Amino acid sequence: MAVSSALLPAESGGGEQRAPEPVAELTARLEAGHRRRICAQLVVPARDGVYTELPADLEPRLAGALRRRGIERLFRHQARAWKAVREGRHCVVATPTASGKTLCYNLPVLQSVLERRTKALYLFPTKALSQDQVAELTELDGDGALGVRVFTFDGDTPGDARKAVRTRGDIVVSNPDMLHQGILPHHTKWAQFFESLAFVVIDELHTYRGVFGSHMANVVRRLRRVGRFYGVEPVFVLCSATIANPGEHAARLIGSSVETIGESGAPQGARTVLLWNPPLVNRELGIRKSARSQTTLIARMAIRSGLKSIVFARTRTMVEVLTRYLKDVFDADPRRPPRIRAYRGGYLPTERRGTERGLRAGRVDCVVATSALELGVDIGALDVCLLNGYPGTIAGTWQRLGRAGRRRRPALGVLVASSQPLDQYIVRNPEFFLGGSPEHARIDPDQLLILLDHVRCAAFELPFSDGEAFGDGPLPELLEVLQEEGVLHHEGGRWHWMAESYPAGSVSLRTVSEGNFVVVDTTGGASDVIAEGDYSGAAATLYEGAIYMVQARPWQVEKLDWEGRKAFVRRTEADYYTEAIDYTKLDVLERFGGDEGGGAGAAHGEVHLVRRVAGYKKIRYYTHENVGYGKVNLPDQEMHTTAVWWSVEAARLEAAFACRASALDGFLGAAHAMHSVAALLTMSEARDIGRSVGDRDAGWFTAPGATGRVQARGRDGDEFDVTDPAREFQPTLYLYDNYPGGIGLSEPLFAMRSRIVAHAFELVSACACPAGCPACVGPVLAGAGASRSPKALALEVLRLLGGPEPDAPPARMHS
Amino acid sequence: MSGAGAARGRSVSALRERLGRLRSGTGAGSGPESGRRDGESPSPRVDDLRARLQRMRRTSQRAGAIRAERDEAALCGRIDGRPLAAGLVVRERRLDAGFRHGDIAADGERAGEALRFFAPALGARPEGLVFMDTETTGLAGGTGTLVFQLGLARWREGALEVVQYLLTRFEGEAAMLEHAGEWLSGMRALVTFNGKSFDAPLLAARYRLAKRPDPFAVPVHLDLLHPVRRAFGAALGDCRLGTVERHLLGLEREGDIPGHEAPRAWFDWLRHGEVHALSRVLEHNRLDLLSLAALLPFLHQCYRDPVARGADPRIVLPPAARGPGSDSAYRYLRERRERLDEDSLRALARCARRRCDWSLAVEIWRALAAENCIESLESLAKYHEHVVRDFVEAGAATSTLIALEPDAARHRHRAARLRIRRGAPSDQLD
Repeated sequence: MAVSSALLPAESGGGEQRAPEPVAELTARLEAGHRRRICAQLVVPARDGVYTELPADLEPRLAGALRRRGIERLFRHQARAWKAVREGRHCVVATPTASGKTLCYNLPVLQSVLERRTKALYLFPTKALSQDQVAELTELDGDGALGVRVFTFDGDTPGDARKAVRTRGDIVVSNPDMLHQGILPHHTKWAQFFESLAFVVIDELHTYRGVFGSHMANVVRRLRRVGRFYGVEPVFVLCSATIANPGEHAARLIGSSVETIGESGAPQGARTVLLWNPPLVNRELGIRKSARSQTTLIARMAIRSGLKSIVFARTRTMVEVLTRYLKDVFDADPRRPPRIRAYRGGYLPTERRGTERGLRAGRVDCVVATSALELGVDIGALDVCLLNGYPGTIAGTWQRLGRAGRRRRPALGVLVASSQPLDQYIVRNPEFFLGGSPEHARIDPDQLLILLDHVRCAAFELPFSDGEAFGDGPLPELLEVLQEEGVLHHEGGRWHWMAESYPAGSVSLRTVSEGNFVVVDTTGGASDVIAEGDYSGAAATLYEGAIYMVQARPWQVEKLDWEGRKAFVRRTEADYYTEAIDYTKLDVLERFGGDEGGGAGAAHGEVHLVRRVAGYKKIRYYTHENVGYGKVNLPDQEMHTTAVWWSVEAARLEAAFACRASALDGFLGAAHAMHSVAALLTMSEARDIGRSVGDRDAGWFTAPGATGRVQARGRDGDEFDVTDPAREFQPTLYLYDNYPGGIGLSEPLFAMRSRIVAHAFELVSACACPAGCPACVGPVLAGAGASRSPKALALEVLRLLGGPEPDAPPARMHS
Repeated sequence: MSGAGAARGRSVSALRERLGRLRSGTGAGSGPESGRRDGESPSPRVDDLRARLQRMRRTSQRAGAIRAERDEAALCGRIDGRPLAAGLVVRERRLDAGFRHGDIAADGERAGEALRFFAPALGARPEGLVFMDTETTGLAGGTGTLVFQLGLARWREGALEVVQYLLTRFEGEAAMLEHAGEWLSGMRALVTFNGKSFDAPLLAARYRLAKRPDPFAVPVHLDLLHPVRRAFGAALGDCRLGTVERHLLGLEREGDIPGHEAPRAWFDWLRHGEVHALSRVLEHNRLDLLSLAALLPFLHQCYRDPVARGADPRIVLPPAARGPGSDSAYRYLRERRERLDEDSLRALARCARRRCDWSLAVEIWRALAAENCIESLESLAKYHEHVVRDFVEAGAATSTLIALEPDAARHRHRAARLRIRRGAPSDQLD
């Protein structure tokens, strides 16, 4: 964050107190009543705008349209973008939410349409964002009577309108999936459009990371390749929320260097951010009150103060649970319109649009959302943003906090820590978050599987010629592999498509596997689709017996048709919700390298991973006690990816631990800490990396049992006795790249292998808990009854793996 | 193999191996065979993969070995064609007018008349009328779908000229597009079967990719699928060309290669030099063209006298079924009304009503009303209420309607209105 900020200790109180201002008043009340829960406070002071005059060469009609909307001057960053785009340079605008980013591209694009009738392609990651954009452009067009034709082109565009969009649209607003499957493979139909294509706008750049971003970079390669066929080299304008590397990321995404416009000239109201740790309820076990209870407490206060609030939760289930708790208070009367709304992926578009309208109109007082609302969907101005748990990244945290805040009024953000280690680390080391750089967006466009998919699609679009390049990947070899597969044919220096298939149809940009699930309500003999879910989440949310919630109303899954991708549900009145129990087993396929020896070692390579949802827990509302278990019978999810693993020589293990069970507990605790540290050090989200403890030769692996206690299981999933002295005992700790094929995380992990161990050692040893807690070695079960504490066992394993770095300074990983 | 080639070969095989491994886990769940073995091998998947790679190598070696035998001269001999350019062969034929195709004797004069019927602006000359059909590498569309065989036919000097271009290599495409463009000069109308949504857009894409103007973009494109569907859709169900030939033209193809096997036939020629299936594709395409030539005049006859040909009689009326119909169409239907089915009778009654030929209209409505035809009962009620102002008769028809459709509010409204009108001065309520 490039802001001038004052980091104040909580005790000194925060900022100036302006009594009549409700946000300041709420902040003061929180400080007065809960001082010990506030670990840190940051006040980002209000900022004035930096303006420049409208460009001299701006079309008078366009200037008129701006003036009619009350825009007499531009913010400095808008003027810089104007200059760069007018001079034909690719640029990325990385300024905060509500800083007027859309004008950065709309202005030069509209100008060029008016001057030379050029065409532009706008890409948004979701359909909802496209519709917002068209609405805004149409308004601007109407204000200036510009006669610019703006159309959306997506799956909802009716067949008879498509031709008009292709031939008459000046600005076509679409999404990457449509470009990939609907436009590029039919580019000859779009010939007129491509021949005049001068600009490509990619908004929400920060969402194109990981697998999606790697796919997107290849779609851009294909777009530019088709553009060259029609003799155009469009200028790219990209917009991003806060990330560490907008320029580098944009350059990698489009494959050309990009000018970065990073300093916002827009005014902003003051923003107060509180880091909030729930009070301890059991010091021995390090157990705190739940984040959920604190979030609802603060939300209730905000809503009662008449402030518009947004609550972000990390999971869809938590969105529903929090919504229910707030609805129980504020929406008790079913005859009144709801004041509390839930918003998450999986809801039907009409449902989401309704909530967005309600927010803009001020009818909704509080929305509880997943990251689905992190994007620039227009929801009007809000005052308070509550984060139920650390979102996992600094960038994601600022993006969510940015959803509250108006240009001239103060805003409040509260990050409520959960008991997860990352959360606890953040509240204990506030400077890590408040002063830290946001994460890098990483993509790997040359990841082999993704690259091959797009080489296939590109070859369908236009034959490759010998000597042609496609990114930095091994194109000649890939073309030969495709020829062996029988889809390409090399003749006369060109690689021709020679198959009946339509390759883009079987390549999904968002996930590696195909097929959305629909949720069908069969209550009372009906058959209504009430929600959709993506393939990757289905196993963990739509198993038979699961409680599935929409707007906090529960349905129970009665039947899951895995092949048909349908879940049949029925209304229920359950007083509990469900959580899946899953586990992972892992085989090493190929070892790229390592430095085993000296009693312990680390290596990295390719692994095969099987994830299975074995059952689920029923959790009662309010008390959060387990009230039952169920079995789940679903196909395994398989994945090939890359991993780093650590192990200790058997003899040293025997010497260090009294029994094998203790050693295993030590590995599990160490894995917990190393996973957290690895996510921090690679600046990625915790879910980007997976962890597992198992046998080096995949003879057994660990998984939680029905009681929640982790135990060893054999290859078939049955219990496995690691203490049998007839068997070799080689526990191994794996951290893996949690994307099929990997997105390049395990290489940096391997390079940082000793730092990961060293920092994990510091994290655990510096934790204030006596015997281990969720913040260091993971949840500790009461009465585990071993002679050494889980914390001591984990430290022992970490010591064996290399322990504290002898010469490294103890960084900022201590509290 | 050169040193560089060998190195390339090694890197390709290493790459292939990695890809195979990565790929094996991206799909949905695997069967029970995954992940079970106690031996020293790190993973059962590796063995599985090795086997698959071996299979892959064998097929590619086979492909290499046979490719050498691709023999264009043998192909030309087999199809009785000649090379036209690098990668392009052509087969040309002339069929004198009157040749039999199924039950039909095809000739150009009747094709010309048909053209005048379906596209009146063009006049009756058969010249400039081109039949077109393609064979492609796929049905999915998109720029990766290639037209590997293009068949064209036209009437000239009392004979049907058929020209079939066949690519023997990708290289021949540019020449094919160019030659076809020349052959087409003077084309005034294009006749296809399902060509509007399939063949023509594909060719447009091919010409666009070759950066040439598309000669098929003529103002008149007569896609016979649509008139066939209108005339025989109810009778035939699916209106594929094969069905049409069998039931309308009396043509049963023997030993025909199904159209969907065409891509494979061309791929097998390209990969393995196989000639037989490809020659059958050419024959298939030739029959398609002849069927087009025969179907056009046959359809014309059907449209002139549908009752005699078993077509839907309503095709003599304009498609949207509005307006009174032409005098000749009206006369045609009226004269054959004993042979019309219910739908056509209703259509005839609608024409009669629009022409105020009340006696015919009422006669048909009465006959159909006896069979509880809703439309006819309603028409009768309206006629009695508004035309002859016989509210009692109108009320009788309306009562029957209410009995048949008790939930339809409009019948009850009419009944209520009629009750009032029977007792009230008539001009107050109109």
